[in-house]
Amino acid sequence: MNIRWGACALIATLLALPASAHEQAGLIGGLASGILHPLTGLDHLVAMVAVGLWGAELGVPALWLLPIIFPLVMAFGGVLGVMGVPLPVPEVFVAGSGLVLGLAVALRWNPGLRIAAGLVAIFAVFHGHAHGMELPRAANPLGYGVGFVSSTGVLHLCGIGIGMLASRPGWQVVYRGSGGLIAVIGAYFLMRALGVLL
Amino acid sequence: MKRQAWIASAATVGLLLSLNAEAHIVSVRLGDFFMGALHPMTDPIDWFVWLGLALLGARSGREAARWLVVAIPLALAIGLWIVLLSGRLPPAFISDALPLLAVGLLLASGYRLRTIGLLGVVAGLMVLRGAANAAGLRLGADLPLYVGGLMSAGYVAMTLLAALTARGIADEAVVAWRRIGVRVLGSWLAAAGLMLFALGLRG
Repeated sequence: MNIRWGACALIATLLALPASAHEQAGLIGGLASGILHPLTGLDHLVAMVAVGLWGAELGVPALWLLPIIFPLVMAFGGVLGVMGVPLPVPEVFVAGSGLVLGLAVALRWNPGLRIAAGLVAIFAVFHGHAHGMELPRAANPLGYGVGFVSSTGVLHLCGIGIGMLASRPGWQVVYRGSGGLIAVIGAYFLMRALGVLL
Repeated sequence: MKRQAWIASAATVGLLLSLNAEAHIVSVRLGDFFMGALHPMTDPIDWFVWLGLALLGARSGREAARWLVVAIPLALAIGLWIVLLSGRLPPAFISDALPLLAVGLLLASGYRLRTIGLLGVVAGLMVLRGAANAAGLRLGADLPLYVGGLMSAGYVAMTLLAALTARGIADEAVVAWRRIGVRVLGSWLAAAGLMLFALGLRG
């Protein structure tokens, strides 16, 4: 019996493959890094969900224009960040985006497509810039780009999904409450960016 | 028990004495053909660009999409020949990022290209991808076989992808959200291409 177990253990050892424990390696590592990057920053996460929520409130065509335009504008900001082009007070704009977009959702502000798109585009440039600046040099560029963009897109879709639920009776409080929560989180990050809080 | 122990021991010795498997047919007979055919499958940029071009072709109509099946393999071969003649591979941020960015922007814009415009775009981008695929050409490889493999992969992949995507989005009766989905996908591809371009420039 012991011989059988021993033989099994030996065979299993001989057939063992190298462990791929280093998540930053190769395409998959870059993809994982890109997907996780927008999810690990709460200020970015809430702002992206707020964009989706607001798009749902603004309705067609904003509903489908925002997920098309936002990744492109954000990638443009990312290019500026990667190339080291400085932007004024980026932390304030990133944190402020959560506050402004959260308030827009909570108050159901509808300024029209042009103003909404312009506002979101400005914030998108700053969010992309922050990601570009923080980009890990070891990450696979294609994997990181695809992961980063698709992860942000999924956050928009989450916001749009919650926003579309709000059209049901009794769900308005969830929609406006989500906006309020986002505004509070944005305000917290804004105060930290301004040095009011440590 | 004794018999099982002998079998286990013999299996162990067999494993210990095993040599590398010669299962890779790259170095014999039609090996270079398969190498050429499989090389684009190992690069995700080719997956994305080919899929994007198939979607672009499908959106431009079935007549235009049919031309892709011929144009793409030819353009791939031309790109590879240009590298062989010049002896230089294009910079990765050009041959990788530019096709991704261009295809993505065209998809995201929702613009429906005419056949001649579509062929021009496809030819330009596939020449770049053909040049990029020249990197897989090993020293001493059978060139006609490699090119044949690459062209066959382009032909088969594009036929299948164009047919599938044409069925999915080209019909007028197709629901609007699918077309929006294609534009969103294009936007994501263009954004990834833009990032890739910047990262390539940064080095």
